Amino acid sequence: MRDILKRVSNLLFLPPEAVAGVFRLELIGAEELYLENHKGILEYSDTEVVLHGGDRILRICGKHLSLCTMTDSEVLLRGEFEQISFAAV
Amino acid sequence: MSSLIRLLQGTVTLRICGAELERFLNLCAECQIRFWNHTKHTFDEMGLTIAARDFFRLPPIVRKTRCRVHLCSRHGLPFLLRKVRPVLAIGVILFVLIAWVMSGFLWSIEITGADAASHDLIRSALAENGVKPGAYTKRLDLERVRNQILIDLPEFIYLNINLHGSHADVAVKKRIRPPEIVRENGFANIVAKEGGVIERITVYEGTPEVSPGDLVVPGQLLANGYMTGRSGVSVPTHARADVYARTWQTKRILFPLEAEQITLTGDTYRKYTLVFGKKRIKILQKGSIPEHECDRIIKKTQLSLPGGLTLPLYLELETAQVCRLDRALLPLPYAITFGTQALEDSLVLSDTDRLLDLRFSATEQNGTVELEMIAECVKQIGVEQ
Repeated sequence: MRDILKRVSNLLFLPPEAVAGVFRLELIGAEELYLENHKGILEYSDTEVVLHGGDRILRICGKHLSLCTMTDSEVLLRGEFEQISFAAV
Repeated sequence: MSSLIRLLQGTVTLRICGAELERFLNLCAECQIRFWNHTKHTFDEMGLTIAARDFFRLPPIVRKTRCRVHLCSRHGLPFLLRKVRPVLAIGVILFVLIAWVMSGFLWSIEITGADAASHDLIRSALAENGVKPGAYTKRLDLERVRNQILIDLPEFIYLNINLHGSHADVAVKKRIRPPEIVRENGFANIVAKEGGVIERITVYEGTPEVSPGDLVVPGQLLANGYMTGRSGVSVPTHARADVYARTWQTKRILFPLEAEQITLTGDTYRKYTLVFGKKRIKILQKGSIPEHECDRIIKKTQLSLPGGLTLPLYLELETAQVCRLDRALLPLPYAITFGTQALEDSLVLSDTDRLLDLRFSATEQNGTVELEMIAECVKQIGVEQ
């Protein structure tokens, strides 16, 4: 279903995060990370944060990671990011 | 901006302990509970800050996640208000009470419709009748005050006092006297008020008795009230004439050469006093002011608020400069200059008079100098009789 919605959004030139509900990751330098359309936090420590992105698991590793703010759809992380990896759910 | 809003709303800093901290965060996000300043202390303990109003939405989340919540600190306006509420309430009550009491007193008086010279006169008359800054307005009988002042000050024809709260507007109107009526119907002669030599004489009504060049003495008849017609019949009239004569006016002054001289010692004393009605409160005084031999300057300033509202409070600054009285001998040229000036000032001339010459002579005797002034003028010397 999510794949169909992604294709439709591509065809109609619509943002997929709005139509298919996929997460949107915004990285400002290596110090600030903004994630939209997340599904929650799975793990959290000052060296590693694991976030549920819907169809992907997002793993962020680094130093002094801190959760600046969090709402039901947005997360703002700060710290020194070293590695960002994705894994299938 | 957001931090200001948070400060106004009030924030609480919490310490959360439990095994399911991530779930706690997820549930907070799901319930729209915003948090910030998140710090993870250990694997089972973290700290965060939330809005004060969200604190009471936490119990269901706490029950679900089996976490323990400890309140660390509270910040913001609601908590500050709770702390200072009794003090604030007392302050508000006191403010209202003071404002209510003060509104019952007269704070300022504004006088309109009279020249500035009359303002002090009206102010003192108002004060005598109780209308002055600091007076209790409820006890003022304005009608009686108005009538009393109009009786006391006959030069004013109209006076009205309007009281607006603690401000009084006093409107006055000066009486304009009718011009003095000159009775020209009766018989009158023109006589000389002082002696001199006649320069010119213009008779409008009556018969001239003197001509230019004549020497006249005070009281001498200058123009006769009787006019003789062509038939030779004398008719009594009210004589009118302009008679100008050259006069010599002599004035003498005796001027002592020894005079008292004031010397300032240099010692200055200042005293600040706050005046409220009849109450005087000494604020600041540097040294005690000696009672005698002081040159005192008192400056009284009415205090007012930045908006221009005057208060019934005066700040009085008394400056006293200690002086010494010495007897000093005046130099003769200085005494002559001083005396000459005094004599010149004493000379009174009307608009029609013309000064021709001034001669001075000085004689020194027994520690005094006698100055004599002879003023030669052309004056109007005719007066009705």
